Amino acid sequence: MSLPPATGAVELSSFKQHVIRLLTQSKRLDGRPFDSIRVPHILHENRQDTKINRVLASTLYTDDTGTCVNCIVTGVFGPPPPQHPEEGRLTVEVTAPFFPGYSAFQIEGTLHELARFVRSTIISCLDLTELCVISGEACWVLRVELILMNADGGLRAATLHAAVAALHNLTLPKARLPSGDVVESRCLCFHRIPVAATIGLCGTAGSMQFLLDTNAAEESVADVLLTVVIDETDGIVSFLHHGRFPLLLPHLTDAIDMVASHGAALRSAILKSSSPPQ
Amino acid sequence: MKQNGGRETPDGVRYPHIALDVLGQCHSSACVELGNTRVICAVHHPQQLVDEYRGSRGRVACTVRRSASAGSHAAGSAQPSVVTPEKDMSLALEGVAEEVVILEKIPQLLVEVVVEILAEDGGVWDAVATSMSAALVSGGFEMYDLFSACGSALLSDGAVVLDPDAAEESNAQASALVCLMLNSGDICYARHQGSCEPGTVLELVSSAMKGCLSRKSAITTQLINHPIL
Repeated sequence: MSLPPATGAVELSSFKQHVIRLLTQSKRLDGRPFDSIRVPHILHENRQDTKINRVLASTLYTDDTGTCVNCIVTGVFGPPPPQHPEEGRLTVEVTAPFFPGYSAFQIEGTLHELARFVRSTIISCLDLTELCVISGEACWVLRVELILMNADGGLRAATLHAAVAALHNLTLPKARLPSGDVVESRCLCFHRIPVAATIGLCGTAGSMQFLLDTNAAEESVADVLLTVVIDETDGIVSFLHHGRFPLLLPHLTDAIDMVASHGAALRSAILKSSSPPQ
Repeated sequence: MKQNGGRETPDGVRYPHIALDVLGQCHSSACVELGNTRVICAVHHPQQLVDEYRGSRGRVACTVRRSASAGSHAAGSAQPSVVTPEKDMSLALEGVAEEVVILEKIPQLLVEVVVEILAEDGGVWDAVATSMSAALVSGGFEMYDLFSACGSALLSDGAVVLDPDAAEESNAQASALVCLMLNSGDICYARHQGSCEPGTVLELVSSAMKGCLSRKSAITTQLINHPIL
C-alpha cells in the first residue's frame, strides 16, 4: 500500500537487503534517529491575478528529503448531494504523473486509497454545512487535487498535511449565483486540525523496532505499517494498520504516543504560514 | 499600445525562467515558468527496449498531462476523454525529440519523458518545448541543438502579436506556432490554426520564429550557468 521507492539503477531486492542491513545496525537510510520526523515546509502560492482560473488555494508541501506534493483547490457552484441537502461537496483526487509508465497500473489503487483516506479525514474535521449556500439548491463544490511530484514514503501524512494547509483559512470568494443572488465571502475553518505520521515496525529476533515517519525504502521492508492521525487534544481521528501479523495493545499505544509527542511541531509547521498574503 | 499581459510592444515576448533537477526520483527534470504558465518536465531513467524494438536507434516516448485546475475549461469537465489536445502535443513532441536527440548514441534504450502542465496562461507549447529541451540536456543526452517554441496570433483588430496569453489566444482570428532549433534555426514543428490570408500566415510564422530566437540568449544563459552542466 505504498508507492515503490525510486532506486535508480539499483535492483529493488538489493536495495531492500541494504536497508535491512542498516536497520539491524540501528541506522536509517537518511541518518535520522528512529523517533524523529521530517518537518514539513508549506509554501502558499498567491494566484490572485489570474481570475479566469477557479483556483482558490495552491500549496506546495515539501520536507527535508524526497516528498513533494502540490495541492490545488478549485471551487465552483453546484447542486448539493441528494442524501445531505444542507451540506456542500468535497472531492479529492490524487495523481502521480512522474512515476514510470510501466507502474501506472500498479500505483492506481494506491492513489485511489490515498484520495479516500484524505477525503474521509478532512470530512471528519471540517463542517461541510459551511459550504452550503442555499439548502437543497446550491452549494460550493470544492475539488482538491493533489499532485505527487516526489514520493518518498509517508504519503498519507504528506497528502493530508498538504490538503489541510490548503483548506485551512480558505476564503470562499464573493460570487454571484446564476439566479442573480450574491453570495458573500466566507472563511473556511477546521474545528479540529489533524496531523498524521506513518510508523513502520520491523520485527527482528523478537524485538520490535519502531520507525517514525518512514520513507519509501523503509516501507518496502517494514513488517507492519501504521498511520496515526490525531487532533489538538491528542484524540485519535483515524488509525490504519496493515501488516504481516497482528499487534498487541501496548504496541498500538506506543505508536500513538510517538505521534502525539510530535503533534504540536507538525501542527505549527503546517499552520504557521497558513494565511495567504493579502 | 500596451498589450493585455502588460507587455510594451507587440513584438515583446515573455522570457522563461528555468529550474533544473527539481524532482529527485527522476533521471533529470526541469521546471519552466513563462509568465503565469508553469510546466514541469521529467525524464525517467532509460530502460532497455524489448525484443521487437531492437535496432541501432533508441526511442523517445513523451506523455503530456494537464493538471485539472491548470486551465479554466478543464476545471468544469468531469469526463476524461480519450482524444485530448495533450495527446496531439505529446505526439508532436515525440517527433521533435526524434529530430533533436542523437538516437544512434543510445541504441536499444527507451527514454520516457513526462510533462505536467501545472498552470496555463497561454504559451503552453513554448514552456513545454523549453522544459523538455532543458530536461534532456540536463540528463546528459547528446543533442544536435537546443529547441524552443513560440506562438503568434492575429487579433480581431488586425494586429499581429507575439507570445499571446490565454485571453489573446481565445480571441484570435488565427494563430501560428513554430518549434525550431535555437542555433541552426531549423524548424522542427509548425502549426497554424484559424482562417486568414496566405500572406498573413507567412507573417505569423516569421514573427513566431523571431520570437523564438529572441529567447535564445535567455535559455542558453540559464542552462550554461547551471553548476552541473
